[in-house]
Amino acid sequence: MSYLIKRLFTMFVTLWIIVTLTFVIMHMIPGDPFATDAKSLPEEIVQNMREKYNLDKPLPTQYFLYLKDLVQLDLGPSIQSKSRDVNSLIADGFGLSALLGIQSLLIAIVVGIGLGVIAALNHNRLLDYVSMFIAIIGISVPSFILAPLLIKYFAVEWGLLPVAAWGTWSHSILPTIALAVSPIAIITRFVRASMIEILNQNFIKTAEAKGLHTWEIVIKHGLRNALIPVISFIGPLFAAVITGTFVIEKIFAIPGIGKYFVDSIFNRDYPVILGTTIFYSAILIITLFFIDLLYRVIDPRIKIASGGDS
Amino acid sequence: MSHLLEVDDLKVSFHVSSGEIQALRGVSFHVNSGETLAVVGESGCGKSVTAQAIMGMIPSPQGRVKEGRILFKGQDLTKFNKKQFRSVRGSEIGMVFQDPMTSLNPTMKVGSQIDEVLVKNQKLSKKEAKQKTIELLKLVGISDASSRYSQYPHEFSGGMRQRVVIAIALACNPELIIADEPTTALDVTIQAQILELLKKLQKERNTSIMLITHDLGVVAEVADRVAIMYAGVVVESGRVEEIFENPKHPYTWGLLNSVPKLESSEKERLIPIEGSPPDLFAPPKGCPFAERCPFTMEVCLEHMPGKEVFSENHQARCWLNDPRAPKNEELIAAGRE
Repeated sequence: MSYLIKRLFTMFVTLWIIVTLTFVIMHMIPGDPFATDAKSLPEEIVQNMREKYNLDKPLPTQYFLYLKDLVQLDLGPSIQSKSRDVNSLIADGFGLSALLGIQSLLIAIVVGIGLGVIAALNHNRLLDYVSMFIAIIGISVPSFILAPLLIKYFAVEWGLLPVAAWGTWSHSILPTIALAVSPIAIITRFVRASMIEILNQNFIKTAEAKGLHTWEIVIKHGLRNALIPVISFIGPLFAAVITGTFVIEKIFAIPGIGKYFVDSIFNRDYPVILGTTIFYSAILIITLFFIDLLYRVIDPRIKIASGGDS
Repeated sequence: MSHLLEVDDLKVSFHVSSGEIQALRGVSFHVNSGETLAVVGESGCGKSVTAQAIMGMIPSPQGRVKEGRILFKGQDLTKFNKKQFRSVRGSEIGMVFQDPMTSLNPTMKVGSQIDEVLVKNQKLSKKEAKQKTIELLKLVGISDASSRYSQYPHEFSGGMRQRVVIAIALACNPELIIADEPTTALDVTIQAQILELLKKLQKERNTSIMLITHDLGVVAEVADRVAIMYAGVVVESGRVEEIFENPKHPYTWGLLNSVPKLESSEKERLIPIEGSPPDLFAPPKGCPFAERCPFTMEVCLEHMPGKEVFSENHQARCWLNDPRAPKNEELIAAGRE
């Protein structure tokens, strides 16, 4: 129990540090939200706008005003999208991004573990090379090339799936695939490496000497041990994937939150930059927390009671 | 009388990028039912490869059995396919490994690791298996077996883990247990306990044990017969008294000389065997021990010595025992001392 309290405390401290750093770095970037409009707008209006968004106050004041709102879970108004606040931007976009992300991650985990195990079992043989070839392609072909190719064949030429936009579930299939390919490749490589190591362990020989079938050995003795290092990697991947990706969302015209990460920086939309960063960090921190809990379930050698350093 | 296990002229090679390692170059020995055979030799002499060959666990595709037979209850194991091997492993031949710290799955309950063998080979239900597992844990001397059942290996000490590994090997009442250096990784008091346990279980169940070791103390303790291996061949074999009291091979003399003796009151230096075993990439055509042997003759470098038989069980491969060899009894006696 004391572990949980300690853990929650560090989670908040981490988040606070991230907020502070983001705030500082963000204001170090030259330019401001009204730079592009400045020429067309009269001086007084710009001044009024700056006042509205508290930008006329000294930075420390701005910082504390922001923290005050943040504690009340208010991420402030967006400067770029007038009349919308950051909370609603995230609320609207996150659902879609998360759905895509979770779908593609599930596919990536299943396919990645499958390919990784096949590769490990056939270490240095044909199937290993085939799996690794697929993995290398998956890592090296960028999604902005893969996505248009998917659209060209599956949507345009064969007419199987919708080209883009968001509507029914079938709209999510192509972006899910495009999003899954790189995680598949990464998970495959991780699982393969980890599995090869585990299969050389002595307890696998014990299992073999028991007269177990190869697949029994792999599933009952190999996989659980091989996944321990893989899990630590799936955590950040999960956070990255459910908070949307700029490229995929742009190509498929999906109104997720991925685009805000990029747009907000170009526009110096300070509240959106902070809001999306905090949101992403919070998701990541929470995911890592659950991964740690998952570790303790999978690996009995780690005990919650011992405070996390065993 | 037919033997439970008979290894006959077994040759095993490993093909690696730099060539062929001849790990076993014609190994022959047998194990009778109910007895303990100790296979002795220094690291790399092929003890463990022999065990792997019997279990069908030679790492493929690099390693393979080139020649010879392994007869287990009259069936040639070298002709077995994977499926046939699975039916022998665990149920008819059990195996105890060297390092108890790594021989158990760290993420699986100890009880389940024993259950597994029973469910697989004896087709017991989960419930029956659990009951039998708890009995087995008691049998190998683990107290509080029913609560130990659901603990993980890291909650066990090294000696306890080795008891669990022995319980796994014993679970299906195999006729043969291959123990590959079962006490090497344990400290001396625990070693004695584990050896006691093996001896006791063997007596109760009339199991045969093939004990692989490089520790002559262990051999004297538990073995009925001994096979001494060197560079992929058995150089001498015999009943344990014959080997200790009347060894016929200079390598055996060397091994015996390198063991500390309790009765010697003076500070006596141990005599190591100088040199190192031959390169198995290119094994010598003569006796593999010739290079390190204090009694090397010309013939030793040219021809592999044949088997000289001294008694029903005792035989050795050394030219010194050939009737044509010069009778340098004094030298030999000196060598034994």
